[in-house]
Amino acid sequence: MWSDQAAGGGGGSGGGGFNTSFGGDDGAGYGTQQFASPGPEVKKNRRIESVLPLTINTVLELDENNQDYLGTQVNMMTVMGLICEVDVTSTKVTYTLDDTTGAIKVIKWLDSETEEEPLMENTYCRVHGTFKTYQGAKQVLALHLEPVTNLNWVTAHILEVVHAALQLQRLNTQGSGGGVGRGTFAGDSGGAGNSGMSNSMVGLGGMGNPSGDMGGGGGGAFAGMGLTAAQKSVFEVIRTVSDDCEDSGHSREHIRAKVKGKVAPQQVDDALFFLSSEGHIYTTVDEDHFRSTDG
Amino acid sequence: MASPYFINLASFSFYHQREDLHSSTRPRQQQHNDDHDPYGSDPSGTAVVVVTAKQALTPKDKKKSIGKQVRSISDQFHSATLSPTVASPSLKYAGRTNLGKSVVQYGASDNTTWTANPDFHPEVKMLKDFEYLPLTKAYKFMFEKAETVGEVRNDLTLCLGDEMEDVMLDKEGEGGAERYTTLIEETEGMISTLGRIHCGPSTRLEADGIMFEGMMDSWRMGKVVPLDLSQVKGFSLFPGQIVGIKGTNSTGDKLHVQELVDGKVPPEPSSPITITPGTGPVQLVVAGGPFTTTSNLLYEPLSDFLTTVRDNPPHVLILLGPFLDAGHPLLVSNDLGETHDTIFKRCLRIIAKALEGTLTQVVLVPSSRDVCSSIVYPTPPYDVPGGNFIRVSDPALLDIEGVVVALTATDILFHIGKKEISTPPQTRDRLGRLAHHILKQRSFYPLYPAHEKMCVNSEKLDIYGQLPCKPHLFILPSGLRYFVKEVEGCVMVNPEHLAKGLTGGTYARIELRPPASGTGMTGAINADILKV
Repeated sequence: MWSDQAAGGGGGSGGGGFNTSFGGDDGAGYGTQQFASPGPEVKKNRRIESVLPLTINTVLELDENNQDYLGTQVNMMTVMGLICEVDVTSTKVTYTLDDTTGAIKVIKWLDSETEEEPLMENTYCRVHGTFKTYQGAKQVLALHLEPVTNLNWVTAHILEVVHAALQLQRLNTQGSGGGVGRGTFAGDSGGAGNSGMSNSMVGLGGMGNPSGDMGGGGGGAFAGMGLTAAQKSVFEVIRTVSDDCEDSGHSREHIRAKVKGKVAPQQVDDALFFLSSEGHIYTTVDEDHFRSTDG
Repeated sequence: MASPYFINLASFSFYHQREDLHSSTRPRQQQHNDDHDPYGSDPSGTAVVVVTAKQALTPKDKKKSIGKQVRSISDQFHSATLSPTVASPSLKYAGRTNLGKSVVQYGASDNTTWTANPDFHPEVKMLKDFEYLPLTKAYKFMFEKAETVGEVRNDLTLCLGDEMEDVMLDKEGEGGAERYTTLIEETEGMISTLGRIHCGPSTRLEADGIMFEGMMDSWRMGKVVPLDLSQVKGFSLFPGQIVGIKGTNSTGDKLHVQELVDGKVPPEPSSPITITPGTGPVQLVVAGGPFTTTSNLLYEPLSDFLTTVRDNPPHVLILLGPFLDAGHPLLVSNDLGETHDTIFKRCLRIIAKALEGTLTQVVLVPSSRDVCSSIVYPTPPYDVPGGNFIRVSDPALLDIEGVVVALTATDILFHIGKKEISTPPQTRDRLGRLAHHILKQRSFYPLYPAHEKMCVNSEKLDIYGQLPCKPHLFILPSGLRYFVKEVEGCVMVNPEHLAKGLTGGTYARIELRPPASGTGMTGAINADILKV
């Protein structure tokens, strides 16, 4: 249904391969699958098109010459809003759509073959369409327009808008840590949270290495825990979690074997007792298997 | 050969219809199906009938089953309906050593007989003082707004701030700060401020990047700044901890700490202790779940434990969940022949039966890890009928003849231990330090953000998870090693778990003696931790 209309009406839908990563399984009919089949007329230079969920404000802020949103060309988009005005002519219907971020004109060309009833004012509707500028005014050329029948669509749309923005930002910053989601959500109840990490070192002079038991890492990272050499070697063995002992941790025999030559078996037992009394390690499947608490 | 799944999936309502049907219309099918029965036959001859799927779904004649006597439910759910792994005894558990050995003693436990005075019936009730409201009903969760959480957390910070006023503020005007200053206000000179330790975007604290989330001002604005702790000699911090800080914040983007105050121990409970030499001591036995080994669901440790309890029944038996741990391998693999509730009810029945005729009162504490209770923390009491139990929430504050007992089945020590950072390296008594935090923060769960497996409802934690007074006895089963410690005049008992992986664990018995005049309750508590 969709590809028919797209081909006949707007002519905007070129090739397939819509690059959307939003799972459209929400019952809202917004399945990416239905866009994925190649249109009937496959152009020679196949463009990769994507359907972007946007707010109307974003659409209004698009540059008419370079429709660029967070580094991605906007071709096809989805907007959702309330119809404030309807203007019906013989060839087209012009709606004014408002989603509280802004209002924009949406043009729907009428198909002479199918009799379509124009939507009423005060209908919440979803529009799939393309961006056009006509005599300096920004418009959406609707390919498909449907009334919202379930208010969850609105919520889903808002989530998709946020998700798309985050995904695009991540695409832009990929390689530089990719910590977009983190940075955005980290500010919690603290209000105007300046949650950016400070890189400056807090001076902790003369305190050894207090990050020892938190920082993670190999060798000498335990200087801050005040452990003896024997306890340290035992703790190091327990901290290294290998795949074959993921859940149960290391057995007493395994630890003894690992530190053989360095620490006597009796010392291993003493160290294990000390470490578990201090809460650095705990026993798992039985009293002879240990795991580190900070792992 | 029928697969174990067949029996598991077959609906039981079909199952008894089916059996009645076959018994009346033709010879029992299992007569020539004995070799198909991998579940062991029941001696009474009513073994599991293995029929084909078609027969299971299309009873030949429904009318004939009407009016027939249907076997009782409890008859059906015996161990024959369990798959072999569920019902085979654990060799490792049976082969354990040191049965009944005492591993920790506290107080004058050597001279204790641990026998309960049968004429004394101590009253177990929820704490009534300090406007403590017990959580008695299930509530709706996952409806929290971020805004509400923020406000609740801020209110808690301010409340603890009020308590810390005597050390933090200088009301007399002798040069110190007279009120708490938010981080929004840019001030030269020393300020006193309140807030929480914040781990920033990473999930754990790093010594060089400890952040501080300052309290909100009247416009609900707050600020998060890094802390400069170089002037502080020693500290032990974890995310979510409420601290008062004296220091300077001249630039507004870094707080130079001069003094750090990490909460305050709550006041002594006010109720008079009514244990007298006439009544004799109150005997308690405490065990924390899980109660069965990870290899089966036969509850062998629980049965052995109940046998010892029956031989020497205490006044009060406190059992802390989980009874049916959501992490149990057989639950994870869904390899069960019966519903979770059935197993749990059987558990309760076994407990009730074992203590029949004794004077023991049983207190059940749920756990958010239990499949039979809500997953949210604070956890409302178990809502499964059966038995005459005192059902309380997790956490709960009990009043046993004036002795305030705090109970929580949640492993807060372990959770804080994972996130805590301390300096200078303290080599001794880390567990005591962790326990200290719980008292000083006056909360059963001061860690924020919570452990990834915990679903904490901040609003309810504010009501039900606070410590309005210092309990005499604090029971918190933990994955960390068992201990009995006195912390700030509160005896903390970690009985560990009754079942430890594949083998048996430990439980605690506690004696509350009448306190000698002039001394606190701490000197009147004896405790012993024993292997099951």
